[in-house]
Parts: sequence; C-alpha cells; structure tokens
Amino acid sequence: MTIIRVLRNCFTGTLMTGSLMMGFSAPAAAADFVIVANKGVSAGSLSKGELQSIFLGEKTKWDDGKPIKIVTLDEGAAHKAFLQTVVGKTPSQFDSYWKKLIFTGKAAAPKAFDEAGKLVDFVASQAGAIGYVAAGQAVGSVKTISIK
Amino acid sequence: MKNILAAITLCAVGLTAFSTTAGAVDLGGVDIHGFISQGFIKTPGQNNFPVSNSGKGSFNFNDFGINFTKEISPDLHLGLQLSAFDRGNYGRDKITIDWAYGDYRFKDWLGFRAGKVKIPLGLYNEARDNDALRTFIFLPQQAYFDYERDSLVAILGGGIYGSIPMGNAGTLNYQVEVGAVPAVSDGGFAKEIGGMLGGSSDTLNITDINSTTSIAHSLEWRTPVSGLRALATGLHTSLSGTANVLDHAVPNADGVNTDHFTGTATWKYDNLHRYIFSLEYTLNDLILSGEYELDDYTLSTSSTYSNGTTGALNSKQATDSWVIMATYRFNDWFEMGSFYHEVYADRHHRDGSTHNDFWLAQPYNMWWKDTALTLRFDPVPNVVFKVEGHYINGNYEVIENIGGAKKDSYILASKVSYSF
Repeated sequence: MTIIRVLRNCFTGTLMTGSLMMGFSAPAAAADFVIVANKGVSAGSLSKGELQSIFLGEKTKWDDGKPIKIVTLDEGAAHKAFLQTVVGKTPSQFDSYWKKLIFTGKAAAPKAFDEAGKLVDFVASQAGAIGYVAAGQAVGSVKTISIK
Repeated sequence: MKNILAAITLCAVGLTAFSTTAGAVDLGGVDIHGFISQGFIKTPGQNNFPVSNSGKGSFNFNDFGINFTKEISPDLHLGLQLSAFDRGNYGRDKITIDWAYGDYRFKDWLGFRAGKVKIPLGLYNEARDNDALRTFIFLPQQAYFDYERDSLVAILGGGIYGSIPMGNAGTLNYQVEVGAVPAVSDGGFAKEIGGMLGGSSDTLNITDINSTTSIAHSLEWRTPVSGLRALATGLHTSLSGTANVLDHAVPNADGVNTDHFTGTATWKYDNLHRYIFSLEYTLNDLILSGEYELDDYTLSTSSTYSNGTTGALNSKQATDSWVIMATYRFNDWFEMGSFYHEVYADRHHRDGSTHNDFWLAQPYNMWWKDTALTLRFDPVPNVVFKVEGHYINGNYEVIENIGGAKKDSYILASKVSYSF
C-alpha cells in the first residue's frame, strides 16, 4: 500500500513537471514545413481536416478516384511540426497509430524517408503521392499544397 | 517453449536485417511484421490472475505474432496474422490465426472485409495482442479480459467499414461485422464459463462451444475539438455447448459435501450484449481516456448426473465497469501511465449484497477495483521494456485461486517486447 501511495505521488508530481516543461517548449507551426504532392495531383489546397484524414489513412483516394500515396519523414523538426500541427499527434503517437493499423491488417505503413531530398524525388516520381518537407527545401520537381 | 521463443527471436532479427522501411520486411511485395514479448508476473499465492500460476511468480507470460500482407491493387489487399500467447493454464503458446481477411475498399466511405476479423471493441481490443502498441502491460480487465482473448476477440464472417468526413463536425469512422465468434473449448474463455456455470456444487469442463450469428459494431467520432475522439462499440452474440460435470457435490444435512458424482450438461451463454463507450483526449504528449462497459447475458445449464438426478440453473447477469486512464510521454525513451478501474458483477447491487445469488461466498467477490501504474521504456527503436504494479480491492475477476481468493491483492509485472 505504501509503495503504491509513493508511486501515485511520484506520478502526479512527474505529470505536473512534464506539463510545465510542455508549456515552455516551442510550439509547432505551419511555417516550419511545406506540403508537397506529385504534379499530377489536381488539388491545390486541402483543409486541415482533409490532410488529417489522408495521413491517418482514412482518405485513400483523391477526388478523381486515383489512389493517394502518403510519404513521411523519419524524424526532424519538420516531421514533428507537420504531425502536431496537421495530424494532431506527436511522432510517437503517429508511429503507434500506424502500427495499430499494421498489426490489425488494415493498412500498410507509409513509406518513410530519412532525407527530404529523397522524399521529394519519390513524390515527383509517384502518381498520387503526397508528403511534407522542411520549409526552404528545393521543391521544383513537385507541387506545393496549401492549407485552406 | 524456450526453443520456440529463441527461434522466433532469431527469425525476427534476421528478417529485420533485410528490412527496407521502418521495421518492416518486404519479400516480393509481401509486407511482414512481427512481435515477440516475454514477461514475468508475481501475485499473492491465492490470487493466480491473470496468469494462472502467477502466485509463485511466473514466466509463463509471453506473446508473439507474425503477419503477412499483400496489396493486390490499391483497393484490394489480403493479410494474415499468426499469433500465440502463454498465460499458464491457458494460451499455452498454441499458434492460432489471429486474423486473416481480404479487404476491398470500394470508396473511402465504404469498404468490405471477409475472413477472420478482429472485433472493434473499445479503444484497445483490435490491437491488444501486441504489447508494444500501448502503455500498459495489463489493460483494464473487464473490457479486455485476458481469459476471453482466445474466444471473444474476433468474428469469422464479413463486414463493412468506412470513413465519412463531416466538414466542421469532424469525421465519422464506422465498422460493422457479422459472423460467428470462433470460441474454443480448451481455452481461457471455456475455463471462465465452466467456473461460472458450475456454481457452488459442480465442476464443469467445457467440451464444445458453438456461436450463433454475431454482430459487432463500432462508431468513432473524431470531433472538431482537436485531440478529442469518442467511440461507441458493441458485440452481440450467444454461445452454447456441452460440458462434462467432473464433480457434482451433494451436501448432507450439515451442509458438508459428502457425495460426489459425475455427469454431462448442456449450457448456454445467451444473448450477450456488450457495449463499450470510450472517450480519448490527446494534448501533446498527454493522453487522457475513459471507458464505460455494460454486459448483459443469461447463463443456463441442464445437467444429468451419474446418480440419475438432474439439475438446471438459469441466471441473468448484468455487469458493468469503468476506467479512467492517463499516459504521458516525457521523451523518446520514457513514458508513464496510470489507470483506475472498477468492475461490478451486479450493477444493480454494487455493495455485493447479492453474492449468494452468484454462488459467491463474500460481497467482495462481486467487485474488482484496480489501481495501476506503469513505467514504459523505449531504449532503442522497436524494443520496449515495461514495469507495472497494480493494487486491487475485491476479486471478481480472479478465475483461478488457491484456498480462496484474497480481498486485497497486487500484481507486479514486467515485460520486454520487440516488434518489427
């Protein structure tokens, strides 16, 4: 019983400390990333809700019926900013979400890249592909998508 | 068992060496993923739960699985997952098909699945086999009862699913599945049913289980409030079968069981209506969630004993439970979680006053109040280590006990998992 009480107090205290730390962390912003898509994608802008549905695997087809291929970065500031601003998940939560889909057979994992240049090249070569890179990355071979 | 685990570990490590994307293995267009976990659990000597020999401390506490999926076309894919688990007297590392189905997504709002599909119950049922996908080692036991994991977690049949955007009102995701519940007569669920049906005088060994046409449904609303989602899920089924009565004890005038007989029985676990309502709120690294579960069903048996007598029972059950959970991820390698969970065998008499109607000796046999705390460590990618403690009041969930289950007890568990 005593151990449980100590652990409970420890947990409460740690949560409060974590919340304080959270308050001092820099907020993720849309200015930190650029959404890119294959030039064959007809959409020029998408709502945050549509982007969220796309990157959660709920919306799998573009409005013209062609399949959507989502690609992600492995890590980095742009990865974190995009997930938190658009998808509403931390990288860890996003990873866990997709693993749940994988381990229930509902979806295959999105293709992930450790370099933004490789991601852009992939998006340029794959019909229906959409991803994101850090702001300032060369994106001449793909189109950029704005958030409505 | 050690050989099985070693072989799977070696295979997993070997396969991962050929992986091309984060943790996945791609062999000729077939994606392969897997997981393996090994734990240790200790409970009081009397309360052997959820691992049947945990009172002495047990390593009979593992899970493993491997899945194969193939995209035939952007709209059609096939997949299968083999899994096994050990919990001492049940599971026993028997390899089973966890899920296996074809999935055709006609539109985003309408897809079809056929085969063996996991039941979308609550926040966790579909993916509960893989320990790495959650913070806790043991989920709240009423909604995610370990003894039911071999029987009430999937449906053999088919169903529809889809996602419906609602503009500023968020998104609705739905699933409906119809088919048979593939319950097994030699598993944990059969032990649970045998214990409940036996009452105070009989020991039953389930020999056969059949399911009627069953329905499972799930409606998830991703609300316009950032990070907030709500779920309403349900399962409706009836199960029936046969059993051997191993021991029908007949008390004398002093209430002492003096005569013992064997027999046969037919039984029904009828009109199970299970609902789970869930809320989850995510704020950066903090996740708060709560679930409420309702179970209604009727238990009945008709027995014929070797002394020529017969017996019958019919009992309506109305249980419920609720849980509140909080998890917080501090950094890439450390997460902490806690939950508080209450379960009542008779939701109309939460003080346990109807325990005699349930053939239970004490009022505290009628509830389960569980406080849990978990530390989760992710030291390197794909590896998870957890330590968890539970303080429990009441023993409603304890299926296997020695010398009578204790009123107050604990569970201490640790587990290491690898997934790819």
